[in-house]
Amino acid sequence: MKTLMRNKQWAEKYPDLSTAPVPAEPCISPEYYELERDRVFRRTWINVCQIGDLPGPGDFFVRDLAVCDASLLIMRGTDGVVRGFHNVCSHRGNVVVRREQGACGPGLFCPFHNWQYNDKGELVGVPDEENFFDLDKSQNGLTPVNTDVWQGFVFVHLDPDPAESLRDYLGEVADQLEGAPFEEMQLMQTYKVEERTNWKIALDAQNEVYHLPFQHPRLVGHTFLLNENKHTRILEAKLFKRHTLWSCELVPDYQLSPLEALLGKIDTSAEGTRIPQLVGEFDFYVLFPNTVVILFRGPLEDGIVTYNFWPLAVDRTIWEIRYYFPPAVSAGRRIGQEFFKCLIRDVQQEDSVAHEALYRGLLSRAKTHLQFQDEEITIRYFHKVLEDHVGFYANA
Amino acid sequence: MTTQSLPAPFDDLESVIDWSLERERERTEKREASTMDEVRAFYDAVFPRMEEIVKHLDGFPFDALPEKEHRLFLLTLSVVEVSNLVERYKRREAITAVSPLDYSSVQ
Repeated sequence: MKTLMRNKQWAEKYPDLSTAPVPAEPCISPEYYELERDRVFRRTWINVCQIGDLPGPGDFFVRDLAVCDASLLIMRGTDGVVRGFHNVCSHRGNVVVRREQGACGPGLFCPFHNWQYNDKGELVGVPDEENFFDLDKSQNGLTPVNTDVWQGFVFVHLDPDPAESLRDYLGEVADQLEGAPFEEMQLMQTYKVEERTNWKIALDAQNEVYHLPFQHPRLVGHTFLLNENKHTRILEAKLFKRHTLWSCELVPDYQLSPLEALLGKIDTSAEGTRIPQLVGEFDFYVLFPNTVVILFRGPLEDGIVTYNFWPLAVDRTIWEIRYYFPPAVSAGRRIGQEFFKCLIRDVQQEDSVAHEALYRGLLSRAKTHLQFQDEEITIRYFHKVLEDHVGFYANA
Repeated sequence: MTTQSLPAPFDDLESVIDWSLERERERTEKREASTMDEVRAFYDAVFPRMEEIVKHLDGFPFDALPEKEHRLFLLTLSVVEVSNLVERYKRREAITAVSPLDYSSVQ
């Protein structure tokens, strides 16, 4: 056990970060939400999908980015290059592709008048072209969006001239996870959960383990390391330029459930993929603004869970949850993966209740501020980084 | 004569064959539509056989299980599906969560 049990250790590590209560208004304010749309989601790199969503040359994935009023078409060209475009026809602005995923094949056809685009977003066909006036097809491809890929994570930046590259934006997180074997992980399951909550409330509720013994007593109340008073203590907290990491160890006296105990007997296949970059046994990265990457250490292999919190409105959020595991090599291994997924899924279903209840509570404006303890330092920092972008209070 | 849908050593699990469901969504729906007694009866029938089932399945390439073995394998995924309810919550009243059917599963 490497975790230190000392109180208030993270405030000591980061003495410049205020320990004062944090305003609650940003979680319910329509004005704040409008500013976030412009100053956060249009000004940062946003993870829109994974390379596995575009498995082959010519494959595409469509991401509706409601918070930016944008439908984005991400395509892997037959030349292997991943490109992003606004999914909008050059003719009269129709949305071209209405499916979420597919193959470009001979071309993508706008359903309105059959304008045709190829796998590089170029306009290659216009019915009755001769009857248009000086239409230059070469100037009327799909509108490109800055797109880049890091370790299989596909990001876009809606600013035509981003202030920094994706690699620079990810900064210390990219350093920390350099060479992580993410490409060996396969998507096993996706959930999209629509909640009546603000996107930050849902993200904040995930971004700490303090609540586990109270909110999830039967599922994971005695899972992550606890001090002598049965309160969680994290192994590590890191505040990067914008992003954060916390990491946990497991309790040494973890009690296996009957099924969990059985997994050790039925999974006899060789040790699978490991993520050498793991800090503890459960690493939780927040990639500002709305993406979470969780790395976890299993008995025989590691896995990844990702969250994307998609704002639809100030009070509506889609929580997209994805589980990635190495390809299962045996029935026993696959049962173990299903076990982990179902356990965390059932925890998340308890969390969804909290996400909505927190929003209802804050909406009353009975409380003007949120109180954060030392274990919740990454939430506190997230709100600081957010406000640094939004400038709601600076300009008030 | 009844049709056998499971490999011979597991004939007796024919009584719970309606839990052999391909998609997670179907397994969740089955769990939700069953009484606690029905869930427990299913778990009690299959859980003690899990080790034996996996040993049997290991006799085949996992990515090419024959039809009967595949059905048998799906029973084990339903055990996982109900395991938190049976082993941890023990009764539905202990659950404070959104309906699992609100979790729209994409895969």
